This record gives sequence, C-alpha cells and structure tokens, in this order.
Amino acid sequence: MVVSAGSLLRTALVALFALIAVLPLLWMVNVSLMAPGTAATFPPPFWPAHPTLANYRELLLPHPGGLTSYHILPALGNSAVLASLTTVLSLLLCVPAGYAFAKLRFWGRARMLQALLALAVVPAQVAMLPLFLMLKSVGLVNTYAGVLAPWLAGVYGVLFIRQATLAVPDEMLDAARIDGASEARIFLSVVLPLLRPVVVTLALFAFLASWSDFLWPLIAITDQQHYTLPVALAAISREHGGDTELMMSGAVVTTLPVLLLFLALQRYYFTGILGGSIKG
Amino acid sequence: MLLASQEWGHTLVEVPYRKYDIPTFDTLIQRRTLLTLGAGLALGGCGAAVPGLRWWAIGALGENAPELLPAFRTATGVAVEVQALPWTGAHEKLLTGFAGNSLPDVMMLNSAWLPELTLIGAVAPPAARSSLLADHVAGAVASVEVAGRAMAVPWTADSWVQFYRRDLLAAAGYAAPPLVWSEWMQMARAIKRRQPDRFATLHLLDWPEPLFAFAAQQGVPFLRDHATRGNFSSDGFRTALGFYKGIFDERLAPVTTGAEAGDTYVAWRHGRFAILPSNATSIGDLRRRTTLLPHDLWDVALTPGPRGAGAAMARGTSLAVSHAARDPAAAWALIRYLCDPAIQRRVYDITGDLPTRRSAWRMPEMRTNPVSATFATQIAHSVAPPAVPEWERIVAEVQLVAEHMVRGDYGVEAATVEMDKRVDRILEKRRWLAERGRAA
Amino acid sequence: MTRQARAGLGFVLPVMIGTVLVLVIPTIGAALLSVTDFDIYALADIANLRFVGAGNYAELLRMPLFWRSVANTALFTAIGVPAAIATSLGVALLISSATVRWKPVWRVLLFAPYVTTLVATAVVWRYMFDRHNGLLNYALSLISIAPVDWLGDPRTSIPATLIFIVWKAFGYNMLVFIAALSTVPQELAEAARLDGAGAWARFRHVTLPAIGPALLLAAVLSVANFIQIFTEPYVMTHGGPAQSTVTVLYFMFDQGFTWWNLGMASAVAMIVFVVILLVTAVQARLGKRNEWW
Repeated sequence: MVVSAGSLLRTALVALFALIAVLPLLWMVNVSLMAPGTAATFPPPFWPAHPTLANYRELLLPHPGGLTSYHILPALGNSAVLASLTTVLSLLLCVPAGYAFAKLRFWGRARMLQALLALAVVPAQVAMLPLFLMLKSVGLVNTYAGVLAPWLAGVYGVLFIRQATLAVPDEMLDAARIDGASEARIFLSVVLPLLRPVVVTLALFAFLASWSDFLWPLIAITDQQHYTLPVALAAISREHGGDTELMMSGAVVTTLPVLLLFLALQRYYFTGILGGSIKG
Repeated sequence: MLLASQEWGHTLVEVPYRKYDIPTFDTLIQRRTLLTLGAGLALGGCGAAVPGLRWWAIGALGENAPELLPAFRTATGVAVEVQALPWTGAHEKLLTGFAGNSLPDVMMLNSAWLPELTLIGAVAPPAARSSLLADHVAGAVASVEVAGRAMAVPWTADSWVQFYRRDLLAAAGYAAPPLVWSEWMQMARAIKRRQPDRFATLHLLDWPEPLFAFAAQQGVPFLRDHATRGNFSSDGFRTALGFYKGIFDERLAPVTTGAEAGDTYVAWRHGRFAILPSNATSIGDLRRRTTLLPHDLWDVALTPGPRGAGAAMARGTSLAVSHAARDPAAAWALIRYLCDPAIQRRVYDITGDLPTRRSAWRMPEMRTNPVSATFATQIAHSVAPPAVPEWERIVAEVQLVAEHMVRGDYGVEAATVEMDKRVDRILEKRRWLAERGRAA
Repeated sequence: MTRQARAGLGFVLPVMIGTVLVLVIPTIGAALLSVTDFDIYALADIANLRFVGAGNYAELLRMPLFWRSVANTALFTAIGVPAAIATSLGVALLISSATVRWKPVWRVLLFAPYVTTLVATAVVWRYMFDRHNGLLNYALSLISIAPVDWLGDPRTSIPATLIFIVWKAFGYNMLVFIAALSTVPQELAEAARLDGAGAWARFRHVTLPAIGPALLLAAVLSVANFIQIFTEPYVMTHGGPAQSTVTVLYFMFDQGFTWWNLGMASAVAMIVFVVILLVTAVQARLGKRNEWW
C-alpha cells in the first residue's frame, strides 16, 4: 500500500493533537510516581529519576499510629456505590418513561412531554438551595439518599431514550400485541433488546456524571465517611495543594476508574452518542 | 461502666514509663484527670454500648488529632472519630453542618466564630463556673465569651509573628528584623536591593492577618455604633492600610494569593522572600520539614509596630460541644481530656499550637525556648476581634478590597470608603435586629 | 382506560413525580426565597425572616462583585464558546479527512479528556500552569518567552481557565461534528473540486451547509454550559486572583453556601434561570426552523 505525503502529514497532525490531549494525563501519572519534593524543579523532570509508589502508599494506606489518613479508600467506595446507584436509578426511571413517551398513547402524554422539554432549561443549581432545605427538613442531609435525590429528575435521560426509541418500528410492537403479549412483556422482550446500545450509553453517562459530580455532594455531604472522590480530593488539595506528587496520585486514583470504564465500553458509547453513524 | 475505670487502673500499672528528651504524654499525663474522666462517665451514662463521639478538628491539629486519642479511648471506652477540616473551608463547613443538622458532637473552632455560632444556637456552653475555665493565660477565657458567658473552652493560643531567614537578613546586614515600621522598611529595601528579583516578605493577598495586625496596633476599634457599622475610614485604619500598601508598592512583597502560591516553605527555602509572617502552625510545619529548612536557618521575631514591637490579632482556638451532641457527658469528658495541660503541651510538640493552660506553660522548655517565648510575648500583646457574628465575613470583604487596592483598583482613601460601604451592608441585618433588641 | 394507557402512565409517573419533587418544587421555592432575606439569622430563628420584595434584586444590581461576576461570565462565554467550537470543529475536520490512518485510536485519545473527572484534572492543570515549574511555562521557555503567571495574574486567569475548559470539553462536540461531517455528500465535494473550487470554497459551500444545524445547536448548548461555569474556578483559583474568575454561579455558591444568604443567592439563581431561558428560547427557534424535534 502506498502512503501519500498528504496522508502522512494529516495523520501526524492528528497524532500531535491527540498527544496534546493526553499529555496532561501522562504527565499526571508521571509526576505521581516521583519521590515527594522532586517534581518542583525547572525544567520539569520528564521521567521520575527513581519511580516510587510512595505517594500512593501515603495516600491510600493507613498511617502508623493512626495518624493522618486522607480517607481516599472510603471515598473510592462511596463514589463507586453512589455512581452505581445513580446508574440503576436513572435506568429504572428514564428507560420505561422514554419508551412510553415515544410509543405509547396515554392521557396527558403531550402535556407531560412539553413540561419535560420546558424543564430541560432549568439549571440544576437553581433548585439546589431549596432542595437542601427540603432534605434538611426530612433529615436526609449527609446521607446517600440525599446525594441521590437530584437524580430523581430524569429530564435529559427521558428525552434521550425517547429520541432513540422513535426509530423502533411500530409494526414490531403491534405484532407483539396481536400475539397477546402484555405491555410490560413487550417492553422487556421486544423494546429493551433493541435499545441496548442506547441504554448502555445512558448508563455510562449517568455513571460518569455521578462520578464527576462535585457541587451537590460538596454541599449534601458533611461527614468525611460519606465523601465522594472529587470532594475528598478537593479537600486534600485545599490543605496539601503544595504536595504536587501526592495530589497527582490522588488525581490518578480519582480519574483512572472512569477512564478504564470508558475504554472498556467506548464502542457502545460512541455508537450511542452518534446513533450508529460512526464506523470505526 | 465501672469496668472501664478498673481496666484503666490496670493499664496504668502495666504501662512502663519511658524516658524521652522531650516530655511526652506518658510522663506528663495526670493520672488523676483520666481517673476522674472514667468515673464521671460511669455516673453519666449507664447504657451498655457507649456511643462513639464525632469530633471536627481543623488544620494540622485535625490531621494529627488521632494521635491524642488512644489514651482517652482506654480511659473511657469511648471511641472518637475525628474529621480533619482544612482551615480555608472550616467556617462554611460548620455553617453547612448547622444548616443541615449534621454538626458533630465536639467542634474545634476559631474562637472568633463563637458569637456567630452562639447566635444561631449551634453550641452548648460549659457550666458557668466549670473548672475547665480555670488556669488559663490572660485573655484566653475572654476570647470565648459571648455577652459575658463562656461558650467554649480555650484550647490553643496563637497570634502572628515574623518567621525570618537568618542568612538572608544577615546578608543584608541585620541580625533580626527591626520592630519599628520605618526601620523595618529600610531593612526590607536593603534585602530588595541585594536581589531585585526577590522579595523581603510574603503577604499573601488572601491572608487578612498582616493588614489586621497593622490595624490592631492603631488602638482604633474596627467597628462603631455598637458594632453596627464599619470604622475602616478612621485615621488609624488608613495609616495601617497605607503602610500595608507601601510594602507592595515598593515591590517588597509579591502580588500573589495563597491559591496560586504553591508551597510557601519551598519558596522560602529558595529565598524568594526573607520574612514569612505566620502563626504557630508554622512551628509544627517547620518541625516536620527540618531537612528542607534546618532550624539554624530561621528564627522568629515580634510583629513590627509603628513605634516598636506591635500587636497582632489574637487567634486562639477553642473546643465546643455542639447543640446536637448525642451524649453531652462524653463530649465534655473529651474536652476535659483535650484541655488537660499535659495534652496541650503534647499538642505543642506535635503541631506547634501553643497551650492556653498556665500549668502547661510552666512545663519544661515552654518559657526557655526562644520560639515559644516570642509567641508568648506576642500573644500577651494581641488584640481580640470584635465579638459580632458577621466578623468572618467582614474580614473576608475588607481583605478583598485591600487586594483590589494593592492591584491598583483603588487608592488608600477610596479603599477605606469602599470597605465601610461593604461592611455597612453586611451589618444591615444586625442594625435591624439591634433596633428590635434582638442582636447578640 | 386501555391497557396501553395504564402501562404508559405507569411508565412515566415515577420520573414525573421525582422531577416535580426535586426540580419543580425547589425551583418555585427558589423564586419564593428570592423575595426574602433568608440568612443565617433566619436559619436560627424564622422570626428573623423579612419579606423584601425585589430588594435582593435591587441590591444585586448595586453590588460591584455581582457585576464583576457577570462580566467575568460574559468574558468566559464570549471567548470560550468560539474557542471550544473552533477546536472541536478543527479536530473533527482533520480526523474526518479520508486519508488519515488509525482513526479509532486518535478518536479515543482525543475523547479521553472528556471522560476524566473534572476535579482531578483541574488539580493536574493547576500544576501545568505553575509559574515556576509548570509544563506550559517550560514550553514557552523553549521558544524564549518569559514565564507567565497563568493563574496568578488577573489578566491571564480567565484565558488559562479557558485553556483547561476547552481541553476538557472539546471531545464531545468533536464527536458530534464527526457524525455531522459523515453526512456531507462526497460526490458534491468531489464535483466542486473538479470545478476548481479551493479548500475554503468547498468548506463554505459544501461542508458548512451540511453541518450547519449541528454547529448552531452545539454553539447554543455551549453558551448555556459556559454560563454555568463553577467547578473550574472553584478548584483552580478559588475565584481569584482579585476575583477575576468569580463567575455568576461561583458568586451564587459563595452567597448561598459560604455565608448562607439564601435569599440573595436565590435571587442570583433566578437571574441565571432567566438568562438560560432566553438562550434556550433562541435554541428552540433554531430547532423549530430546522425541525430537530
């Protein structure tokens, strides 16, 4: 195969952009492996002189004598649990509703759909202050339930699933109805399998959004036992912002799980976002 | 519960006393205190399971607090779970905790926050003549009083001094920083002349303490009209602000904030500036980083004033029981334990935070060590902040205006006017409440 | 009621009820709070609550810091949206050209920043921007440019924050544009090329009309997102230096959750709400004209 100069040039240019995109991430890993205090030199060292896991040990392991602990491991657990619960909650709420708005005829459908479209413009931050007071009155501040509460509103998820479901041919549903299948059965065994890439995309979206969420957990959680990773990391950064190597190891621990998850599911993700228009 | 104290007595006999150069917990702890603690709890609660205590502690103290607790656990059987809050987020965290009904049992506080926390009913005061309030250095108990009533127990005493690099000052011809403003400025200029790309001092623009120290030296109150209006256009404050601005105008301090300053100790080591105004936290920080900054490299001096060693703001911390404490008896037992002179002395060894108990100051090395002795003098000449709930906000707002002034957005005169304008706005609700006789 | 109607209601009611609980009621609550002076005093004793009518709004209009935050947000949006869209589009155009090899690899790498956790990468970038040891100043030093105090100088703090934001977010719109570009009729581009049309003319007359709707939609959505910037300045600069990165939402957070002036903060929230409503009205018009829903 002959490679033209133009092709090579373009590929090199794309590669350069890709390098710029991942450079900060490589840099983060690089510095996290440096011995404490060695990153603060100029020019910046491009490779740790003596790679060490000391920062990860400092960050993750309990200290002798019960001293300073950054609560990163519990935060990792909290983030995993909360992101998983958020994902399940979003799927349970949004997938059936999105399907119903696309394919079922029922009272108030048009008006409810319009209401959801209108609500899509409400910034989450507007609701945040009163929501905090509401949760306080029912004693849910500083609980998992309190952190999950905003996800009960599934405006975007519903609209996203509805959009995808419109493409499902009506004849398939009608055929199932003629065969005497119940509506629940049609949803579970006819519609869901067709929607799989979209559902996976929504699941990933919800997981990533919950994992990265910062503002609400920052307010809704007061106990470090319940901190999520971003909140814990921000807290460490306020007190230890100067310990660059330690902060980088914290950033790696926070971002690596979602990066791996994305890499594992990237094909679904791209297909889901682009409606199959991408051919690898 | 009787068992707990018996077990403690047992442990006491068994633990062999070790000998250290510096007095440690084992040699200094007063057995009597812990025995009383155990007994007190035995009377207080009779439930089978002792509930754990939640304690929020701030800064380096919060991070090292777990080290203080095993003996308390052994004595009382009460487990304490410490949460370390960063200083920069502690105040809003406490308010959020109150707003969300999720305050812990015991709280470490900047004592200046007590009027605010008292007003909203977040703290439960100690008994009026509690022995916890005895044996404190002058001014310590006053710092925790709101409207004449002590609302918490003083824990650490602190103020602001100058940490200086001996070598850098010596190179400029000074053994120690002069304590009179005009001479101090001459020294700063001498340092600057030697290395124009470096600085004499570091006044981070989001640290209000240097400015408020200069202002405290003027003897003019920060607020007027029964603390319902700002008094920042007073001659005294204007003088202080002018001095503060001059330091930046002559490039004797870099125009920078803590958020982007990075590691100040590394910068100090590299000689980017010679004098670091700071509080006792730095004693602990520097102790942990002797490889970076060996002790013979630095020393401390009093804060300079217009006519000699000047005042700085008092900056004590205290321990309070929250209104939401599930087991107040256990919470008070923890505070009694932590405020024991021997524990306060141990805190000094760990973090550098200075004791409030007189008997702690009588312990070895406290008065003879030049660093703690300098702090003792500075603390004795410190000025307490006005006891109004809005003080934290006022300080933040005034410092923001000062930052804008340093960056050239205001002159000194215009800055003081702007400060008063903003402070008056903050105090608007206080004026309304005062008219109705409801202000604290 | 038919079986289908029962099922339909059953499917949508949970999410509708949830939405009313955590979105509709609180939004109404915010509107109500915004006409009171709900603060720390009122939190302690509700008797200290006053009805102030439009007082909070009037007060906001008089507050220099509020205007500062509006100006900062406008600046963020005015520079950020074109920069972000241009980056996404440029990279999408490049990667979509037929001759580029190993596309899936580049696509994953280019998209990676988008899935990273914001707080973590903000910490990383704060270090990249470090005045003394940062990678960016090192790169500048290679071409003999004096070090820049990226996050420490009020003149560069917004551009620096924007570099981070664009890096973090461009991947999503890049994907959208790649998808849109795949719909560009190749025969048309080829015909234009044979007619002697240059690269720009082909982009202007063939590519742009095809991806126009996607471009407009992305622009409007980006505006709505940029108006809501908060976490980046919160983690990277704490709103400084000299409040040069205090955005409207940062201001709201500060009023609300640092000082517990919930009345004032709600007034800010309502203003943001109205602005986003206006932006979205534009979006809806564009949407209707182009039949996107």
